[in-house]
Amino acid sequence: MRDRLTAAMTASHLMVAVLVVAGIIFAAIGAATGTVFYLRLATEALIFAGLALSVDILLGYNGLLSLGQALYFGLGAYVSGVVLKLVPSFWAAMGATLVAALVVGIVGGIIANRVRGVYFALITFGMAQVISKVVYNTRALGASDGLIGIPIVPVDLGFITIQSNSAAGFFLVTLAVIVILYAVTAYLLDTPFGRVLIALKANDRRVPFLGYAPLPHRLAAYVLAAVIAALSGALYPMLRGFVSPELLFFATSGNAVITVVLGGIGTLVGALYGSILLTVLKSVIGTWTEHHLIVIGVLFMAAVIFLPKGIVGLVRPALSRLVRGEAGK
Amino acid sequence: MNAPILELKGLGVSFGGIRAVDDVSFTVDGTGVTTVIGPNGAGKSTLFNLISGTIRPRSGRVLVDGVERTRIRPHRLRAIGIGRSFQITNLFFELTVRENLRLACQPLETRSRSFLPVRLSKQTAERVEQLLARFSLEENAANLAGELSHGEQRRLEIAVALACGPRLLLLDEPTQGMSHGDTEVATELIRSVAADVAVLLIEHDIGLVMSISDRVIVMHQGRKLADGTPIQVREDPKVQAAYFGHAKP
Repeated sequence: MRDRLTAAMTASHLMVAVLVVAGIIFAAIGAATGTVFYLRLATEALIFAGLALSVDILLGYNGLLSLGQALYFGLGAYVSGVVLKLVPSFWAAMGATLVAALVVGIVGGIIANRVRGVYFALITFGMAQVISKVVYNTRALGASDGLIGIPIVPVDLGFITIQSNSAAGFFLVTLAVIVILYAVTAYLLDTPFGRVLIALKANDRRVPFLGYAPLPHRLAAYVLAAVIAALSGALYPMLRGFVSPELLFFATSGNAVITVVLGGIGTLVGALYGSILLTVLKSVIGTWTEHHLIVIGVLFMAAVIFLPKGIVGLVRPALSRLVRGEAGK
Repeated sequence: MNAPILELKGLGVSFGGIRAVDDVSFTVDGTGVTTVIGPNGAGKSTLFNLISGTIRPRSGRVLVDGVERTRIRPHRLRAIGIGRSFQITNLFFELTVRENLRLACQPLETRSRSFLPVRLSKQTAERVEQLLARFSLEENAANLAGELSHGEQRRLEIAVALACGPRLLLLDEPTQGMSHGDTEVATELIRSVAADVAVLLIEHDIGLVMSISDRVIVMHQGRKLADGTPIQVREDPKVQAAYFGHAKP
């Protein structure tokens, strides 16, 4: 018989598969009708889904609320932007971002993982604020204007090359990157390493007595989250052609947390659905009123009170039982 | 070469001027149940925390197999053969029963597997199943630990502490809050465990202490008051004074 965690994870995979199929259909319709605006909006939703995914690694699997995940998202966007202005290569930008995220993630992780709970939230918030102010005041990075004039990037996949200004093409590239990031995360969290993380979240006093040192596990999860956030951020300048310092601001981190809570904490797939829901809501409500944040805020509170496992929590338990039932036969 | 598994030498610690544990020395070796008893605040749990490295002693030494382990970090205990349970049920409620045990057995596996899918060597998988059977938890193996009854959780707690094959098991009030029937089952289990490993136990229930222990250590106000067989200890006038408040010259 399959155990519950693996069954729940399989249920998440099924929901991602549904998303991928829907995404491909959406891209086909979009390409056929030439609706660039909605394809771009969906691409942006997926990019922010990657950021939310990284928040869920920390919040859902480590029990740590990061209020500064924008630091790594912005890091990815700026590194990618700078590299793309020098060499317009998709792979060079992603590679440089990966290296930068590993280095900064390890340093940030050593600092932030000294503390737990509220203090972790405050330290991550503080680190992100410091870096955002530094970038905001650095002329070489465009200061308050951000990085502008990022060229169109050819994404060379070996058998086909997709230009980043092709709305449907780049949407599919983004979908692929986010699904890969999801797959890597889901895989790692379903290994013995992932189980130790869940154990640490549930009861960090007991874990050392089982023979595990907590810090290396927490640090690894933190670095993983940093890399996921940065690689998602690296796609941003390819989509928009510029990098705004606002990507580093608290609003970005806060939105990612709201996304995860709406989607479902500790489900991974919730980050993806949450981000799509939030982006759609913002865009739809935004056409009626400019005070769309009020609606988002009310929804957030409603989710916390009525849907503690988010929108994914409405579907996944049933799906999970189905998966277990099949395995039991 | 034949140093005892655990040897405490003059162990002491104070909290804000109060001597929680004061100059405690004893050794534990071989198999059987050694129970530490004493009124509330006698320093029993503090003693456990000192042995397992959760608290640093101010004076004295802890030797394991004759090797100095006074300031050991908790995650190293496992490797030197010490398992521990907690007074408050301390399980992973979000994990399944099997997963709780698997996690406890996992350090037996080689380190290089931690980023491969959850698979256990046949040997470890068998050990998990044995533990499930021994502690009558098979039916609940795929359920979350948080869904078990209190008695079942306490049993799982002991199973987890035992999972990695320790030679010394520290059990902090294993039957606390159990029903009468559950306590009897747990007593049987602890007796059967003690056939193979040394068990150091903290317990309040005097009836249980007398039936389960091979040796009893009485603590009072941080000090060791008496040490001997249950009968010797029961008849010790100092113990009677501490427990029943008889005036003593």
